[in-house]
Amino acid sequence: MEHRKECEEVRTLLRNLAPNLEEIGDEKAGKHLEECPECRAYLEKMRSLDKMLGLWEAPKPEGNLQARVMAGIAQIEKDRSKGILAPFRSLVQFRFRVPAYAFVLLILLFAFSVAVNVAVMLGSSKNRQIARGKNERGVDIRNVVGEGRDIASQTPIVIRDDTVFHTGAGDRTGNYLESVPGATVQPALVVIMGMPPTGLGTVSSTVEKGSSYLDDKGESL
Amino acid sequence: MDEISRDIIRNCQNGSAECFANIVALYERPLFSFVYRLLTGSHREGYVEDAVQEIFLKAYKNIRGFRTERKTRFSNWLFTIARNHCLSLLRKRGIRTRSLDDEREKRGPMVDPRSRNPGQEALQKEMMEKMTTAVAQLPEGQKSAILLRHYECLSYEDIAQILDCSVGTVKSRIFRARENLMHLMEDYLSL
Repeated sequence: MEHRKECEEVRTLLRNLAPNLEEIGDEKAGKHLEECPECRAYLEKMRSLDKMLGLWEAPKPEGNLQARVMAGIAQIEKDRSKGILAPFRSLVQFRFRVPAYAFVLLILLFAFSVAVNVAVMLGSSKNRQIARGKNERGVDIRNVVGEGRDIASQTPIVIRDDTVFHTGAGDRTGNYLESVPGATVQPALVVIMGMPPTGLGTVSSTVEKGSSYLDDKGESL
Repeated sequence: MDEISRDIIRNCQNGSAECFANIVALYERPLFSFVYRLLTGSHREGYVEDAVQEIFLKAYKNIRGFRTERKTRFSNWLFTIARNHCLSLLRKRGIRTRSLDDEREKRGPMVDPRSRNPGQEALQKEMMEKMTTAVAQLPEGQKSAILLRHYECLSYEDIAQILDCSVGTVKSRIFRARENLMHLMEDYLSL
Protein backbone atom coordinates (compact mmCIF):
# COMPACT_ATOMS: atom_id res chain seq x y z
CA MET A 1 0.00 0.00 0.00
CA GLU A 2 2.84 2.35 0.96
CA HIS A 3 4.62 1.38 -2.22
CA ARG A 4 1.55 2.22 -4.33
CA LYS A 5 1.28 5.61 -2.69
CA GLU A 6 4.93 6.33 -3.41
CA CYS A 7 4.49 5.21 -7.03
CA GLU A 8 1.61 7.62 -7.47
CA GLU A 9 3.63 10.47 -5.97
CA VAL A 10 6.56 9.81 -8.29
CA ARG A 11 4.33 9.55 -11.34
CA THR A 12 2.61 12.82 -10.47
CA LEU A 13 6.05 14.42 -10.21
CA LEU A 14 7.00 12.98 -13.61
CA ARG A 15 3.81 14.27 -15.19
CA ASN A 16 4.41 17.75 -13.86
CA LEU A 17 8.00 17.74 -15.09
CA ALA A 18 7.22 16.49 -18.58
CA PRO A 19 8.59 17.22 -21.11
CA ASN A 20 11.64 18.10 -18.99
CA LEU A 21 12.12 14.61 -17.64
CA GLU A 22 15.88 14.95 -17.39
CA GLU A 23 15.43 17.40 -14.54
CA ILE A 24 14.31 14.97 -11.84
CA GLY A 25 16.08 16.57 -8.92
CA ASP A 26 14.03 14.91 -6.20
CA GLU A 27 16.28 12.49 -4.30
CA LYS A 28 13.42 10.45 -2.94
CA ALA A 29 11.87 10.07 -6.39
CA GLY A 30 15.25 9.11 -7.85
CA LYS A 31 15.69 6.40 -5.26
CA HIS A 32 12.18 5.10 -5.85
CA LEU A 33 12.80 4.94 -9.61
CA GLU A 34 15.91 2.85 -9.00
CA GLU A 35 13.97 0.39 -6.93
CA CYS A 36 10.61 0.27 -8.76
CA PRO A 37 10.73 -1.36 -12.23
CA GLU A 38 7.11 -0.36 -12.95
CA CYS A 39 7.79 3.32 -12.40
CA ARG A 40 11.01 3.03 -14.38
CA ALA A 41 9.02 1.57 -17.26
CA TYR A 42 6.50 4.38 -16.89
CA LEU A 43 9.32 6.93 -17.06
CA GLU A 44 10.73 5.25 -20.15
CA LYS A 45 7.33 5.35 -21.82
CA MET A 46 7.01 9.03 -21.05
CA ARG A 47 10.48 9.70 -22.44
CA SER A 48 9.61 7.75 -25.58
CA LEU A 49 6.45 9.77 -26.02
CA ASP A 50 8.38 13.01 -25.60
CA LYS A 51 10.96 11.83 -28.10
CA MET A 52 8.21 10.98 -30.53
CA LEU A 53 6.49 14.33 -30.02
CA GLY A 54 9.85 15.97 -30.58
CA LEU A 55 10.10 14.40 -34.02
CA TRP A 56 6.95 16.17 -35.15
CA GLU A 57 8.30 19.29 -36.75
CA ALA A 58 6.15 22.04 -38.14
CA PRO A 59 7.26 23.36 -41.52
CA LYS A 60 8.55 26.91 -41.80
CA PRO A 61 5.99 29.50 -42.82
CA GLU A 62 6.19 30.70 -46.38
CA GLY A 63 8.71 33.48 -46.87
CA ASN A 64 6.11 36.06 -47.77
CA LEU A 65 3.83 35.59 -44.77
CA GLN A 66 5.17 38.72 -43.10
CA ALA A 67 4.69 40.72 -46.30
CA ARG A 68 1.13 39.40 -46.58
CA VAL A 69 0.36 40.48 -43.02
CA MET A 70 1.77 43.96 -43.61
CA ALA A 71 -0.20 44.28 -46.84
CA GLY A 72 -3.34 43.32 -44.91
CA ILE A 73 -2.55 46.00 -42.33
CA ALA A 74 -2.09 48.62 -45.05
CA GLN A 75 -5.51 47.67 -46.39
CA ILE A 76 -7.06 48.01 -42.92
CA GLU A 77 -5.58 51.49 -42.57
CA LYS A 78 -6.87 52.45 -46.01
CA ASP A 79 -10.38 51.25 -45.16
CA ARG A 80 -10.28 53.11 -41.87
CA SER A 81 -9.39 56.41 -43.52
CA LYS A 82 -12.29 56.01 -45.97
CA GLY A 83 -15.07 55.29 -43.50
CA ILE A 84 -17.78 57.80 -42.67
CA LEU A 85 -16.70 57.68 -39.03
CA ALA A 86 -13.06 58.30 -39.88
CA PRO A 87 -12.95 61.80 -38.35
CA PHE A 88 -14.33 60.44 -35.07
CA ARG A 89 -12.14 57.35 -35.00
CA SER A 90 -9.56 58.94 -32.76
CA LEU A 91 -12.29 59.74 -30.25
CA VAL A 92 -13.52 56.17 -30.34
CA GLN A 93 -9.99 54.93 -29.92
CA PHE A 94 -9.52 57.26 -26.98
CA ARG A 95 -12.69 55.93 -25.43
CA PHE A 96 -11.45 52.36 -25.71
CA ARG A 97 -8.00 53.20 -24.51
CA VAL A 98 -9.10 55.10 -21.46
CA PRO A 99 -12.53 53.81 -20.51
CA ALA A 100 -12.17 55.17 -16.98
CA TYR A 101 -11.69 58.71 -18.26
CA ALA A 102 -14.64 58.29 -20.61
CA PHE A 103 -16.74 57.14 -17.69
CA VAL A 104 -15.76 60.18 -15.61
CA LEU A 105 -16.54 62.41 -18.57
CA LEU A 106 -19.99 60.89 -18.86
CA ILE A 107 -20.63 61.44 -15.16
CA LEU A 108 -19.56 65.10 -15.47
CA LEU A 109 -21.80 65.60 -18.49
CA PHE A 110 -24.70 64.07 -16.61
CA ALA A 111 -24.10 66.27 -13.57
CA PHE A 112 -23.84 69.34 -15.80
CA SER A 113 -27.10 68.58 -17.57
CA VAL A 114 -28.84 68.06 -14.20
CA ALA A 115 -27.49 71.41 -12.95
CA VAL A 116 -28.63 73.20 -16.12
CA ASN A 117 -32.10 71.71 -15.83
CA VAL A 118 -32.42 72.74 -12.19
CA ALA A 119 -31.29 76.28 -13.01
CA VAL A 120 -33.76 76.53 -15.87
CA MET A 121 -36.57 75.27 -13.65
CA LEU A 122 -35.77 77.80 -10.91
CA GLY A 123 -35.28 80.65 -13.34
CA SER A 124 -38.49 80.01 -15.20
CA SER A 125 -40.75 80.23 -12.17
CA LYS A 126 -41.73 83.76 -13.18
CA ASN A 127 -42.44 82.65 -16.71
CA ARG A 128 -44.57 79.86 -15.40
CA GLN A 129 -46.53 82.39 -13.38
CA ILE A 130 -47.06 84.47 -16.50
CA ALA A 131 -48.08 81.40 -18.37
CA ARG A 132 -50.67 80.77 -15.75
CA GLY A 133 -51.84 84.38 -16.17
CA LYS A 134 -50.56 85.87 -12.88
CA ASN A 135 -47.82 88.38 -12.27
CA GLU A 136 -45.54 88.44 -9.24
CA ARG A 137 -48.32 89.91 -7.14
CA GLY A 138 -50.86 87.38 -8.30
CA VAL A 139 -52.60 89.78 -10.68
CA ASP A 140 -54.02 88.38 -13.91
CA ILE A 141 -51.79 89.53 -16.71
CA ARG A 142 -52.96 87.22 -19.46
CA ASN A 143 -52.38 88.70 -22.88
CA VAL A 144 -49.71 90.98 -21.54
CA VAL A 145 -46.96 90.64 -24.05
CA GLY A 146 -44.48 93.09 -22.59
CA GLU A 147 -43.80 95.61 -19.89
CA GLY A 148 -41.44 98.50 -19.56
CA ARG A 149 -41.20 102.27 -19.33
CA ASP A 150 -42.30 105.13 -21.46
CA ILE A 151 -39.15 106.52 -22.99
CA ALA A 152 -40.14 110.13 -22.56
CA SER A 153 -41.83 110.16 -19.16
CA GLN A 154 -40.29 107.04 -17.75
CA THR A 155 -43.79 105.98 -16.72
CA PRO A 156 -44.22 102.25 -16.31
CA ILE A 157 -46.21 100.72 -19.15
CA VAL A 158 -47.48 97.32 -20.12
CA ILE A 159 -48.42 96.11 -23.55
CA ARG A 160 -51.54 93.99 -23.57
CA ASP A 161 -52.35 92.50 -26.95
CA ASP A 162 -51.73 95.45 -29.26
CA THR A 163 -52.49 98.21 -26.74
CA VAL A 164 -50.10 100.14 -24.54
CA PHE A 165 -51.32 100.91 -21.02
CA HIS A 166 -49.77 103.40 -18.71
CA THR A 167 -49.79 101.94 -15.28
CA GLY A 168 -49.07 105.13 -13.38
CA ALA A 169 -45.98 106.34 -11.62
CA GLY A 170 -44.90 104.15 -8.80
CA ASP A 171 -47.17 101.37 -9.82
CA ARG A 172 -46.04 98.16 -11.40
CA THR A 173 -47.00 95.91 -14.13
CA GLY A 174 -50.66 95.18 -14.45
CA ASN A 175 -51.49 95.95 -10.88
CA TYR A 176 -53.10 99.28 -11.61
CA LEU A 177 -54.96 97.97 -14.61
CA GLU A 178 -56.32 95.12 -12.69
CA SER A 179 -57.36 97.06 -9.65
CA VAL A 180 -58.84 100.10 -11.42
CA PRO A 181 -59.74 99.02 -14.92
CA GLY A 182 -60.42 101.88 -17.25
CA ALA A 183 -59.73 104.53 -14.56
CA THR A 184 -58.00 107.76 -15.19
CA VAL A 185 -54.32 107.41 -15.10
CA GLN A 186 -51.55 109.90 -14.91
CA PRO A 187 -51.21 111.65 -18.19
CA ALA A 188 -48.17 110.47 -19.93
CA LEU A 189 -46.60 110.62 -23.24
CA VAL A 190 -46.03 107.43 -25.06
CA VAL A 191 -43.34 107.78 -27.60
CA ILE A 192 -43.82 105.49 -30.50
CA MET A 193 -40.99 105.54 -32.92
CA GLY A 194 -41.95 106.96 -36.23
CA MET A 195 -45.24 108.25 -34.88
CA PRO A 196 -46.35 111.45 -33.19
CA PRO A 197 -47.16 111.30 -29.50
CA THR A 198 -50.56 109.86 -28.76
CA GLY A 199 -51.45 112.89 -26.65
CA LEU A 200 -52.27 113.58 -23.08
CA GLY A 201 -54.96 111.94 -21.05
CA THR A 202 -55.14 108.75 -23.03
CA VAL A 203 -55.01 105.55 -21.16
CA SER A 204 -53.88 103.53 -24.05
CA SER A 205 -52.10 103.73 -27.32
CA THR A 206 -52.19 101.33 -30.19
CA VAL A 207 -48.98 99.53 -30.83
CA GLU A 208 -47.86 99.97 -34.37
CA LYS A 209 -45.32 98.17 -36.32
CA GLY A 210 -41.91 99.62 -35.71
CA SER A 211 -42.87 100.73 -32.21
CA SER A 212 -40.16 100.52 -29.66
CA TYR A 213 -40.36 100.27 -25.90
CA LEU A 214 -37.75 99.85 -23.29
CA ASP A 215 -37.94 97.59 -20.33
CA ASP A 216 -36.69 98.45 -16.84
CA LYS A 217 -33.14 97.74 -17.92
CA GLY A 218 -33.38 100.02 -20.92
CA GLU A 219 -33.50 97.15 -23.40
CA SER A 220 -35.99 96.98 -26.21
CA LEU A 221 -39.09 94.97 -25.61
CA MET B 1 9.75 32.49 -25.79
CA ASP B 2 11.00 36.03 -26.22
CA GLU B 3 8.64 38.79 -25.20
CA ILE B 4 8.14 41.90 -27.28
CA SER B 5 8.96 45.18 -25.56
CA ARG B 6 6.10 47.16 -24.08
CA ASP B 7 7.29 50.26 -25.95
CA ILE B 8 6.72 48.57 -29.28
CA ILE B 9 3.25 47.52 -28.17
CA ARG B 10 2.47 51.09 -27.08
CA ASN B 11 3.66 52.42 -30.43
CA CYS B 12 1.38 49.95 -32.19
CA GLN B 13 -1.48 51.05 -29.96
CA ASN B 14 -0.80 54.62 -31.01
CA GLY B 15 -1.24 53.60 -34.63
CA SER B 16 2.27 52.72 -35.79
CA ALA B 17 1.80 49.98 -38.35
CA GLU B 18 5.56 49.82 -38.90
CA CYS B 19 6.12 48.73 -35.32
CA PHE B 20 3.70 45.88 -35.82
CA ALA B 21 6.22 44.40 -38.26
CA ASN B 22 8.45 43.68 -35.23
CA ILE B 23 5.65 41.74 -33.60
CA VAL B 24 5.04 39.73 -36.77
CA ALA B 25 8.74 38.97 -37.11
CA LEU B 26 9.04 37.75 -33.52
CA TYR B 27 5.88 35.66 -33.26
CA GLU B 28 5.44 34.45 -36.83
CA ARG B 29 7.27 31.18 -36.23
CA PRO B 30 5.80 30.08 -32.86
CA LEU B 31 2.32 31.11 -33.93
CA PHE B 32 2.65 29.26 -37.20
CA SER B 33 3.82 26.04 -35.56
CA PHE B 34 1.06 26.23 -32.94
CA VAL B 35 -1.64 26.80 -35.56
CA TYR B 36 -0.15 24.14 -37.82
CA ARG B 37 -0.35 21.52 -35.08
CA LEU B 38 -3.68 22.67 -33.70
CA LEU B 39 -5.27 22.42 -37.15
CA THR B 40 -3.60 19.11 -37.87
CA GLY B 41 -5.92 16.82 -39.76
CA SER B 42 -7.50 19.71 -41.62
CA HIS B 43 -4.53 21.03 -43.57
CA ARG B 44 -4.65 22.01 -47.17
CA GLU B 45 -2.56 24.23 -49.37
CA GLY B 46 -2.00 27.62 -47.76
CA TYR B 47 -4.53 26.91 -45.02
CA VAL B 48 -2.20 27.57 -42.09
CA GLU B 49 -0.66 30.67 -43.70
CA ASP B 50 -4.12 32.13 -44.23
CA ALA B 51 -5.08 31.39 -40.64
CA VAL B 52 -1.90 32.97 -39.24
CA GLN B 53 -2.37 36.04 -41.41
CA GLU B 54 -5.94 36.44 -40.13
CA ILE B 55 -4.72 36.03 -36.55
CA PHE B 56 -2.14 38.81 -36.93
CA LEU B 57 -4.72 41.10 -38.53
CA LYS B 58 -7.13 40.44 -35.68
CA ALA B 59 -4.36 41.23 -33.24
CA TYR B 60 -3.59 44.48 -35.08
CA LYS B 61 -7.22 45.56 -35.05
CA ASN B 62 -7.60 44.80 -31.36
CA ILE B 63 -4.18 45.73 -30.04
CA ARG B 64 -5.62 48.71 -28.17
CA GLY B 65 -7.50 46.22 -26.05
CA PHE B 66 -4.22 44.82 -24.70
CA ARG B 67 -3.40 46.39 -21.36
CA THR B 68 0.31 47.07 -21.15
CA GLU B 69 0.00 48.12 -17.52
CA ARG B 70 -1.15 44.65 -16.51
CA LYS B 71 1.14 41.69 -16.04
CA THR B 72 -0.37 39.71 -18.90
CA ARG B 73 2.28 38.59 -21.37
CA PHE B 74 1.72 39.76 -24.90
CA SER B 75 2.53 36.29 -26.25
CA ASN B 76 -0.27 34.84 -24.11
CA TRP B 77 -2.69 37.39 -25.52
CA LEU B 78 -1.59 36.50 -29.04
CA PHE B 79 -1.89 32.75 -28.44
CA THR B 80 -5.37 33.28 -27.02
CA ILE B 81 -6.42 35.00 -30.25
CA ALA B 82 -4.77 32.20 -32.25
CA ARG B 83 -6.53 29.46 -30.35
CA ASN B 84 -9.94 31.14 -30.57
CA HIS B 85 -9.47 31.73 -34.26
CA CYS B 86 -8.54 28.08 -34.88
CA LEU B 87 -11.55 26.86 -32.91
CA SER B 88 -13.78 29.12 -34.93
CA LEU B 89 -12.24 27.80 -38.18
CA LEU B 90 -12.75 24.21 -37.09
CA ARG B 91 -16.35 24.92 -36.19
CA LYS B 92 -17.06 26.82 -39.40
CA ARG B 93 -15.62 24.14 -41.61
CA GLY B 94 -17.41 21.43 -39.71
CA ILE B 95 -14.30 19.53 -38.87
CA ARG B 96 -15.40 17.26 -36.11
CA THR B 97 -12.84 15.34 -34.14
CA ARG B 98 -13.74 11.74 -33.74
CA SER B 99 -13.75 10.29 -30.31
CA LEU B 100 -10.75 8.38 -29.11
CA ASP B 101 -12.84 5.24 -28.75
CA ASP B 102 -13.85 5.48 -32.42
CA GLU B 103 -10.22 5.75 -33.31
CA ARG B 104 -9.19 2.77 -31.20
CA GLU B 105 -11.90 0.63 -32.80
CA LYS B 106 -10.99 1.84 -36.25
CA ARG B 107 -7.34 0.97 -35.79
CA GLY B 108 -8.05 -2.72 -35.61
CA PRO B 109 -5.25 -5.20 -34.99
CA MET B 110 -2.06 -3.44 -35.77
CA VAL B 111 0.90 -5.11 -37.41
CA ASP B 112 3.79 -5.15 -34.99
CA PRO B 113 6.24 -2.65 -36.47
CA ARG B 114 9.17 -4.64 -35.07
CA SER B 115 8.14 -7.75 -36.98
CA ARG B 116 8.14 -5.95 -40.31
CA ASN B 117 11.70 -4.77 -40.02
CA PRO B 118 11.08 -1.72 -42.22
CA GLY B 119 13.67 0.88 -43.01
CA GLN B 120 14.17 3.39 -40.23
CA GLU B 121 12.90 6.25 -42.35
CA ALA B 122 9.72 4.51 -43.42
CA LEU B 123 9.00 3.51 -39.85
CA GLN B 124 9.52 7.04 -38.64
CA LYS B 125 7.19 8.35 -41.33
CA GLU B 126 4.53 5.87 -40.33
CA MET B 127 5.03 6.78 -36.69
CA MET B 128 4.61 10.45 -37.48
CA GLU B 129 1.40 9.83 -39.37
CA LYS B 130 0.07 7.83 -36.46
CA MET B 131 1.04 10.50 -34.02
CA THR B 132 -0.46 13.41 -35.91
CA THR B 133 -3.66 11.41 -36.24
CA ALA B 134 -3.57 10.64 -32.53
CA VAL B 135 -3.03 14.32 -31.64
CA ALA B 136 -5.84 15.34 -33.98
CA GLN B 137 -8.17 13.00 -32.10
CA LEU B 138 -7.48 14.60 -28.71
CA PRO B 139 -10.23 16.77 -27.25
CA GLU B 140 -9.43 20.40 -28.02
CA GLY B 141 -8.63 21.37 -24.42
CA GLN B 142 -6.10 18.56 -24.08
CA LYS B 143 -4.64 19.22 -27.51
CA SER B 144 -4.09 22.96 -26.93
CA ALA B 145 -2.62 22.31 -23.49
CA ILE B 146 -0.09 19.69 -24.58
CA LEU B 147 0.92 21.65 -27.70
CA LEU B 148 1.57 24.80 -25.69
CA ARG B 149 3.48 22.88 -23.06
CA HIS B 150 5.53 20.62 -25.28
CA TYR B 151 6.23 22.74 -28.33
CA GLU B 152 5.99 26.30 -27.09
CA CYS B 153 7.51 25.40 -23.70
CA LEU B 154 5.06 27.61 -21.83
CA SER B 155 4.61 27.44 -18.07
CA TYR B 156 1.42 26.02 -16.58
CA GLU B 157 0.47 29.55 -15.49
CA ASP B 158 0.80 30.91 -19.03
CA ILE B 159 -1.19 28.02 -20.48
CA ALA B 160 -3.89 28.56 -17.86
CA GLN B 161 -4.13 32.19 -18.92
CA ILE B 162 -4.41 31.28 -22.60
CA LEU B 163 -6.96 28.54 -22.04
CA ASP B 164 -8.78 30.64 -19.44
CA CYS B 165 -8.80 27.93 -16.79
CA SER B 166 -6.99 27.05 -13.58
CA VAL B 167 -3.46 25.69 -13.36
CA GLY B 168 -4.91 22.48 -11.91
CA THR B 169 -7.11 22.04 -14.96
CA VAL B 170 -4.13 22.57 -17.25
CA LYS B 171 -2.12 19.91 -15.42
CA SER B 172 -5.01 17.51 -15.56
CA ARG B 173 -5.56 18.12 -19.29
CA ILE B 174 -1.90 17.58 -20.09
CA PHE B 175 -1.86 14.41 -18.02
CA ARG B 176 -4.93 13.05 -19.81
CA ALA B 177 -3.51 14.04 -23.19
CA ARG B 178 -0.29 12.16 -22.44
CA GLU B 179 -2.19 9.13 -21.19
CA ASN B 180 -4.31 9.11 -24.35
CA LEU B 181 -1.30 9.51 -26.59
CA MET B 182 0.62 6.79 -24.76
CA HIS B 183 -2.34 4.50 -25.21
CA LEU B 184 -2.75 5.27 -28.91
CA MET B 185 0.95 5.07 -29.60
CA GLU B 186 1.62 2.08 -27.37
CA ASP B 187 2.99 -0.07 -30.18
CA TYR B 188 5.65 2.49 -31.01
CA LEU B 189 6.71 3.61 -27.57
CA SER B 190 9.02 0.71 -26.82
CA LEU B 191 10.78 0.83 -30.18
